[in-house]
Amino acid sequence: MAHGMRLDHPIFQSPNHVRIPLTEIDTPPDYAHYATAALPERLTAWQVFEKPAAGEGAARQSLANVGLVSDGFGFEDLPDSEWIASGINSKGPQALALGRQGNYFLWGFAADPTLMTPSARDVFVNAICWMKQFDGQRPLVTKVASPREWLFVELWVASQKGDRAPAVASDVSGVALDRAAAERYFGRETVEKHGKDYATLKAWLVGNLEAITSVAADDGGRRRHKVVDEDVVALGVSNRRPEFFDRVLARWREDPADELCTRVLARYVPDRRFASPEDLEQWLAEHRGRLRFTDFGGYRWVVVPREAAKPASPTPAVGAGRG
Amino acid sequence: MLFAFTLAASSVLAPQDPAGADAPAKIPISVLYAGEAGTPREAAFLEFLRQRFVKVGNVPAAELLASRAEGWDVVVADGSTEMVDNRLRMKGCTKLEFPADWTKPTVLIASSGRAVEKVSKIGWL
Repeated sequence: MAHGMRLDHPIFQSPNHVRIPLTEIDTPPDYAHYATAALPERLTAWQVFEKPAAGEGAARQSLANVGLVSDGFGFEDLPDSEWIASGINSKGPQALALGRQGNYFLWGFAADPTLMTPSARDVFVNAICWMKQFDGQRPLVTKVASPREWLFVELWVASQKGDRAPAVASDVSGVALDRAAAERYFGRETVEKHGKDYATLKAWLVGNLEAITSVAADDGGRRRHKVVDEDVVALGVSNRRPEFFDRVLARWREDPADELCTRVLARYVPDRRFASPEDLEQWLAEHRGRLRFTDFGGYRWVVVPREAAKPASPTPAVGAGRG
Repeated sequence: MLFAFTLAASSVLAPQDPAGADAPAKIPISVLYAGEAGTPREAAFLEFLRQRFVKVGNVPAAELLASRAEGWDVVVADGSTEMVDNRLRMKGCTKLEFPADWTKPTVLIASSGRAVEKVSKIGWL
């Protein structure tokens, strides 16, 4: 079952104009701790395949269960990416089952055409047709870090699953903190400073969601921690909104010796060194329309190619009335 | 039995909305399918794709990257997994690692999505 479909996307329209039969299903209970907002009790869904008939063998039976979903949080941070649908899975309502980045399209369902429903077969054909135009492209970024929305899932784990839906406000005063798990996700320093208890840690992280960044753990491995960037908190603006640059520029003009400005620019625009406020201003005038922030790509601003600089759109909320 | 299956499959795999024609025109796109050669799964995909597209070819998954899919418009990279003795066995394109300079339009089926996790945001979650 797919859900959250963007039925206005061309893969549902052309060249086959597909009538998608919609149905309602119960929202899987486990979705709550992966969600970034309160979920509806029911989801609008689309049946993509028929389960193999009994007696067809284990390998074929498993096709109903061995699809793949990819990380869907903030997937559309850059204009080469399209979040099109999720599907029933064990990783939450925004996990990506159908979507594109650059020249790659994920069709996350494992069923072969003999098991696909008629509408799914037509959409599959449309997806192939949709992809032809992306010949010669490749993804603008690779996955360096997990997007900040994973914070809620990591809090759920750090609460020993006591905070069942961390994105939904609730009384968590009695919820215990698993310090080892919290240190694994947020680093020892954060837990020592802000982890007096679970409620305090959650308030610090969720209250500063727009100042979250990702830093390499000091264990020499690939592990990364999500931390609150206190420089961004001091700026009083999100690190992923264009206003970030306006605030930095205003502050830097006021005090050319303000080290916070050079620090955050080096952190969030690592590909460019700025010598002065005037240098930043000139660069902004040239690139502002093509600046995008990517959590996936390492919590940084990138200048996207001119031909790709369409406005990024947010991942749709589940149950937001599509279809 | 085989005859009956073929008839049923052909009927089932027809377009949902064929625009009134008995045999709708095939789409002028060439599609290269890469999966597990010689399997019923490969046969099912090829039969279906040949009904819908003017040109359809196939290559074993292990040969896809070396071929660069030269001359083809779109690649369908198929993969699946199977539990064998409590271990996950990867099949078809699931075992590949696409290089950073791969620019051919590529539709990744199911677990083959893991084959691009080092060069994209797509991967096994």
